[in-house]
Amino acid sequence: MPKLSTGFIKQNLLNGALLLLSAIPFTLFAYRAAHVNALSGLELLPLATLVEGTVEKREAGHDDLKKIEAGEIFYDHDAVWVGPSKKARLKLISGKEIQISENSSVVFRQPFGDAYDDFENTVDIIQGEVVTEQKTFRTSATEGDESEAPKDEKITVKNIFPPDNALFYYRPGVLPEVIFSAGDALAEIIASKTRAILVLKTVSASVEKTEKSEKVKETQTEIRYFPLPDDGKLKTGLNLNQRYIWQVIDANKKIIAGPYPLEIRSLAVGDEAQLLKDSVDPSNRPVLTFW
Amino acid sequence: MKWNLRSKLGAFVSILLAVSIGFSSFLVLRLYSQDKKTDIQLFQQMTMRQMADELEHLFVLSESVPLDRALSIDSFIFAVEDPCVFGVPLSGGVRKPFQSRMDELKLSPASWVSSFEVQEACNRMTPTDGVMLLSTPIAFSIPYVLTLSQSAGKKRLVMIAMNQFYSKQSGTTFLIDKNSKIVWSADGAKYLNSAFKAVGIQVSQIQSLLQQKDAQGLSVEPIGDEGVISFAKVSGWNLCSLFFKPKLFATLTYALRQSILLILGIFFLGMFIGKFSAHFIVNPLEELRAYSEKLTAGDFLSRIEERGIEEILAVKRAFNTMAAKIKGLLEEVKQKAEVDAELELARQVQEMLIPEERNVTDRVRLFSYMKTATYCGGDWWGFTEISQSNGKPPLTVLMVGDVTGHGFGPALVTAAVRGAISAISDSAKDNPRYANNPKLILEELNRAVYRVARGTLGMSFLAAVHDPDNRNMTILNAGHVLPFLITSPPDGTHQVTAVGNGDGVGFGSSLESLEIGVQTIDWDPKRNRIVLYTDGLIDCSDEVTNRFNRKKLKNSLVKNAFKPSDQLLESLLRDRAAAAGDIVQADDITAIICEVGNA
Repeated sequence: MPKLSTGFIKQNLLNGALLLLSAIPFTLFAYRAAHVNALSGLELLPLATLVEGTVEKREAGHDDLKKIEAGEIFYDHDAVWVGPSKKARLKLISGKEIQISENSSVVFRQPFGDAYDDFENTVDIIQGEVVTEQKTFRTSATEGDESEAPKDEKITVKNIFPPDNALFYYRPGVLPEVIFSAGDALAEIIASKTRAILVLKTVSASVEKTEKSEKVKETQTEIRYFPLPDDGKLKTGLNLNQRYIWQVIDANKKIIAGPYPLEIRSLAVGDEAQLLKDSVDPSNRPVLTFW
Repeated sequence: MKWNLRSKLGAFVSILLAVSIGFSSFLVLRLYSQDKKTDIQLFQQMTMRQMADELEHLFVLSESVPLDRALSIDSFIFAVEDPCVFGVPLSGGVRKPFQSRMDELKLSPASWVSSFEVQEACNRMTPTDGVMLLSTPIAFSIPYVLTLSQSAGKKRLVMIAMNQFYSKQSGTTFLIDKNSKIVWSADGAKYLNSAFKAVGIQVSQIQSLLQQKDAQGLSVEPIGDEGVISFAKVSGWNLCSLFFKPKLFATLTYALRQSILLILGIFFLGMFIGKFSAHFIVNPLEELRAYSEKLTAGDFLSRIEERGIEEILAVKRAFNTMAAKIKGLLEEVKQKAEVDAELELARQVQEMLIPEERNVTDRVRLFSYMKTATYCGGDWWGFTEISQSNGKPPLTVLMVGDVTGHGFGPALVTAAVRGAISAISDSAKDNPRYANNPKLILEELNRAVYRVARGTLGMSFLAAVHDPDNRNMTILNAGHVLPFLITSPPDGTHQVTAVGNGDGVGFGSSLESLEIGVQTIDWDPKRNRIVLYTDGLIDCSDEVTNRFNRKKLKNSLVKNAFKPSDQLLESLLRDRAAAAGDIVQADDITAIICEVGNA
């Protein structure tokens, strides 16, 4: 065993340096070889893990949902569905936890770059609500295109047709055709150099009974968008015995006029009494009869 | 740190290696990267084309197939007719698999029909319009597009599922209309905006790009800081997919980075191992260099420490063995030098034992030649006189001998013989027995040789004893080559005859018994000369023949017998040298021509 002296160290300095210089690459090589899947991009990265909750998972490329237990891992484009009266807690690849509320669906995605801590790039909320430590994300795209539809903030404009909350009667067997007019909103449309669009929604009514009373609930079932001609008038066919809501918006979905309720009824024999009754309706509803 | 040549060379090679590896790795990885990027782009193009074709097909179906059949098409979520007519119940419906999903979200086709966007499209549609593509006003759990088409005066709204158009590479898909307006996005407007933000682009950039590439109809292009967009034409629209480059090329980037790490690791490890190996090789070399310097300085006693790897150890052992052998050789050389010096001394002593004078007495003239093969040869010749009683003239004894071997042993034997002869000469003055029986001389000499050599060396010996009183010469031969007698009568004819008895055995084999060949010949001092020699004179063999044998010696003597003895000797030696050529002398050469007078 050589004596560890300054001379010995000096003599073997180059040997030691060479040995060290060879050991470093070999060590790195071995380390990287041990982590080949992660470092070479061959490994599917687990984007999220279910911590708790009974939920359903749909794997990427599959159509069916299956129930999963805590510890289940989600990879790229896997989706989770949290049903009614349920919730789930998941841990993301970034280490942060999220809570998914009931009736929510989320798709997990691999971020484009290396931003694994970017919530919006790894979690795509299809429906419902997701709560993070900082913020609550929710989507309202559960009922058709409501999120994109114009808000029901009523803007009253003069000389519109049909009048606000109008009730039209038609002879049975007739296909009603109604001419909609933007009225005084036409000037604003022309001034803003934009297109005017008539929005027509069908409304269905259902009765909700409670112990004390009955309440009528209206639900939009169909929405149509009709571009208004330059004169601000548009004729379209409607259905008998159907309630509608109509409004005028511009191309940016800004409400220019409305929304106005409109009801089309079929005038049957014996409806005179009803007509008389409606004419004295306290709401002073405009009624028009087409015969 | 001291920068010697080795360090500089090492640094230079390292830099060269690093640059080479770096450059080649860069090229390979760049090629690989480009190839893979092209693959990805081609794949995107192909996917885009497939998607566009599929979408176009669905648009055509949405417009053309009967309503009931439309509701059986997998990709259609719902199909309804007369969406633009107010107050008429919708005909058509939702495909079964999607009904539960609709219920779950409390949605129905009427929800879409009632949307501002659909109604606006109804109002805008002219009789010449085919299929209109509408924006998607309601969030649904899978991506979809809405088409409004008309056929035979009837309008139709079809919702097409687009979940098969999800981008698989972390991109997002959208449709742009003819006016470069985004009319549909698979992931929604917010997500698409965040995508634009992430890659740092505006919609206008996509619009201008689409205009530039309009003619191609299908393309994959980089856009923004970190975006890649692919698009394909679908009827009047462009189907686009925007990708985040780091994610799109994540696998490629990973592979490239791993490769770079591996290359760096291997490079530095290689450098380390190289340096470590060099240390193992260079250090022993340094030790060997230092040790070589020690050897150069003459330090053959120190040894290098035998440690290290096997190969180095073998070299070190070889060095130590070499040092030991060099040391041994040096000692041998030293000993040899000492021996040579002693041999030289012995030779000088030996030469002193051989007569120098040509005219040794008034009656005796000797012409001799002697050349040893080594420092100390085994040949010896001599001359002495042995007194006789009764006033007779002394006997002249000519002697020649050849001890087996070379070096000290023969030198000692010859010295012993020479000493014995001196002793015999001295004692012969008062003791006539040697003169009466010259064989005793040889017996004495035999004993002297035996006592010195103890049977390990032998000596051939020949003595020619001239008795002036009786005018004869007795040849006493103990295993020696027979001499030649030259007889030169006044008529000018010359005879050369081998004389002596060859039956005798050489000295040294036994202390007591000695077989001697004896022959006595008449001696005419005016006519006779005797040629004594050793076998070295006639031993001149190559691998095949003896180039100067006894016969050739005799011929030479015959040919030159008319010459005076000194010239005869020279001629004889010249003939031998000519015959021997380049043959190395293997034995001592001795030749003596003796002229002995009677008074």
